[in-house]
Amino acid sequence: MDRRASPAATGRRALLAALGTAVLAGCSSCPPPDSDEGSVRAGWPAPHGHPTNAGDVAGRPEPPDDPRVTAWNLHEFVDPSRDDTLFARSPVVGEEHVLVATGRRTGGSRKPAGRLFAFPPASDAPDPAWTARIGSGASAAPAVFGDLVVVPTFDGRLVARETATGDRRWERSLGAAPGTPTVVGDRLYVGDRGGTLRALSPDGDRCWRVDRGPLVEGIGLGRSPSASSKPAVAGDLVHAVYTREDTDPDRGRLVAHDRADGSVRWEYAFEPGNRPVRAPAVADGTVYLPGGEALHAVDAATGERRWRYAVSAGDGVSTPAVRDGSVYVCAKNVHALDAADGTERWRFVDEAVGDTFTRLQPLYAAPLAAGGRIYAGLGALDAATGEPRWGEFGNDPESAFFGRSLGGNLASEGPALVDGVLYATLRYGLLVRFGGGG
Amino acid sequence: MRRRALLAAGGTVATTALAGCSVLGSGTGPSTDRPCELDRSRERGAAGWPSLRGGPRNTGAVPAADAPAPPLAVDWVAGMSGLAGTVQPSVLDGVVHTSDYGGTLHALAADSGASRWQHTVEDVYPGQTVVGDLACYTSDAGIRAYDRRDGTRRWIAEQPDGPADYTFHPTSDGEVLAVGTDLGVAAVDAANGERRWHHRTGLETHTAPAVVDGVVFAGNDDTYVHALDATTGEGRWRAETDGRVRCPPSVVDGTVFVGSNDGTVYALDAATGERAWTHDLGPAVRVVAVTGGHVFAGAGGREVGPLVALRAATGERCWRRDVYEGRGLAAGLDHLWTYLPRDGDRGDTLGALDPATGETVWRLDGVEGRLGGIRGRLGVGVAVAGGAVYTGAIVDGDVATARLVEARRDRP
Repeated sequence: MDRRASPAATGRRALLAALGTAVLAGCSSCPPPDSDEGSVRAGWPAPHGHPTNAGDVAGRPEPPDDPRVTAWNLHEFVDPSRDDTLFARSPVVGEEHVLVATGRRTGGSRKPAGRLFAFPPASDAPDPAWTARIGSGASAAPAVFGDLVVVPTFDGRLVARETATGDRRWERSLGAAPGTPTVVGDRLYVGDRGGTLRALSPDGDRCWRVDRGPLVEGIGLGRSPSASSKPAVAGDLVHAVYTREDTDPDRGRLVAHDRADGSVRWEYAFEPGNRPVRAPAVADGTVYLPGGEALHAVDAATGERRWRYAVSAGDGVSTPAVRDGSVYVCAKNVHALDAADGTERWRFVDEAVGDTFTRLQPLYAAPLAAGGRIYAGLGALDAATGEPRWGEFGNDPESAFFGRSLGGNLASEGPALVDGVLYATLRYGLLVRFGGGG
Repeated sequence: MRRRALLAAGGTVATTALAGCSVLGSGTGPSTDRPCELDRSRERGAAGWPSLRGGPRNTGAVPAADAPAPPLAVDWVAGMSGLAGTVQPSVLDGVVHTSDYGGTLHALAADSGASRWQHTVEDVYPGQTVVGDLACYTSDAGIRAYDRRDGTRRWIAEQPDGPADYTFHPTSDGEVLAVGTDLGVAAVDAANGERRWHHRTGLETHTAPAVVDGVVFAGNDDTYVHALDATTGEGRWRAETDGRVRCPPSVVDGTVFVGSNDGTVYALDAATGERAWTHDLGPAVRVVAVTGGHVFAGAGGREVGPLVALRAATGERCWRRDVYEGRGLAAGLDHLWTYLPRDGDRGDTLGALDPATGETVWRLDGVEGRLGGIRGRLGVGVAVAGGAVYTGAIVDGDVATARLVEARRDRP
């Protein structure tokens, strides 16, 4: 069931709604939004490859069908007495290095921590070029912003370091753990777990911010929603997802904000299920929203739902990869859907059955779509048929890469593809490279 | 302070419409409800109740001649050891087959509850089907078939290749035994357990398929209803819904009636999968029963949900009662049998409804005293056959099976 933004109601509801969303004027040092958001960029500045999050990598060089495989175990580069268990995020690639941030929100006696690792992409060198501590651990994958890598942290900061050396450049305290930022031109868009969406300049200064604040929750006080999915930017809109943890069935909102000032253009309500909501993706005028137990296709201009594909796999739906009229999504299995109406074209069956004692793993990491290949799991499927071409897809109980239980699976925001080389991370702290090196 | 400043500055307000739409579903409202006119010439059901939903068509129906008339009284209670859970029994030709949901299979005389034989095995899952002279159970080892007369094991169908195991509640038409798996649907030969096929969807089939005219119909967690050739497993068609399909599909007169977790009852052409009609209930639809030209559907989650009567040809509603406790449904032309909420107290008890109006005509009271022990209660599912209702029970904390028959004035 979808909802539309409606004129303000009267009385108490209007008052509380007014508390809920604020748009504050930006500062004058902020560059205007870049009109060019869709071009293929050098490196792999953030997960999903584009500011649109659509994971379309057609036209890029791809690994051969029998790629060389190299792996780095991040545990070898840390002091186990000082560093918490590694929980690796998806890799990003700057001009010089492949960057992996780690961090995990843990309970227990150990103070959570993480690290940022920088590896030279072209060599088989066994050691990172540099590493840096992340005080409370990375709360999501980082993003490359010019010559910096911007890391979101669990204690509510964005930390910007130089990609070449790891030297700290600036830091901003946001008050709540941010998600992965989206970089478009000279602006960075980032949401956080306190329900705030910001646009920042290259120096980390604020261009604008929008607070969803505590949403109305019946009669009592509300709670702030979380806005920690990576925003999707296309045209003049920034699409962000907000979710609350209460029991209201419409506790998720996909919101389209104006890029220039953050004002709200439209909202779409949905039921997010029990899993963290993943980033939306925009392609061909449609926003694809992985909304818990269904993938929603929403008109990017109006917020009207076009179709919905129920998946009901229980562990959520990935950010899809979209190209050439097809939508590819990982929801335990891999589905290819027709972008026009959501009809399923093919399905690749993943054999994991919920037994955490084997290395069988469901596929939930975001895929990438090239011309003839879909990159899902740790391998490639034929884009037209879903037949496996090379690699692993969580179906091998003796896998050399997938491990047991949650940590044994891929970082959820998917792999990076740069210069014909695919990089993927396993959460327990493994970086795998397909192609390249030598 | 920030928010106060915002109000003073007259900041932009974005509101959202939080008004929900009714979860009670669309379709005819109470003002257009009228009693069902059951067509007695379209009575469904057969003698016996061999599998979860009666027989291979999953009609959940019992012929009026084989059903008791309320009030009922507890006739016997047969205790089993074990604490795992209650099982809906199967009944055929005077013998009740059940298990303690753990390691022991039981065959009981239907008229007395006396044990005919019992057999201790490794884990057995809750649900059996009787086919021919065999009683078939799923377990960790696969599907095991036992001779109905003496419990001799006849065959084992081992688990399919790979990590997927058989799930619960197999169904058979006498030739093929169809059963869900962790990754789809499978079939084995009913005579010898030889594997026929395993159709993998990537997600679980949670409950009993139907086997009718050489086709296996199964609901799957991938939200589709699948129709598969019973011999080869080849897909004939599949119909998409908006939620997991955990309701056993019922196939009657060329139509598949099934509910989905999306809250809708679907009527699909059995040959093509095309939708004939749909009816929204609201909560997840758990069970359907078909008889007399009508479809009875029960929905709900953890709480009491709606039970409705729909006309099979059109999906138009006759009545709706919010009484469904999620514990099975048996439909006869004269009575519906299911578990109903108790007045006042928590919990539920066995009851009978008028299928024409949905009115409660009888409810079993004082069951604790008869069953014995503080925790005596009836359990899951009902099998109605041979003039009696058979159900799982818990007595003094142990798993049991109970039979209820028409009460006589001289019976307490």
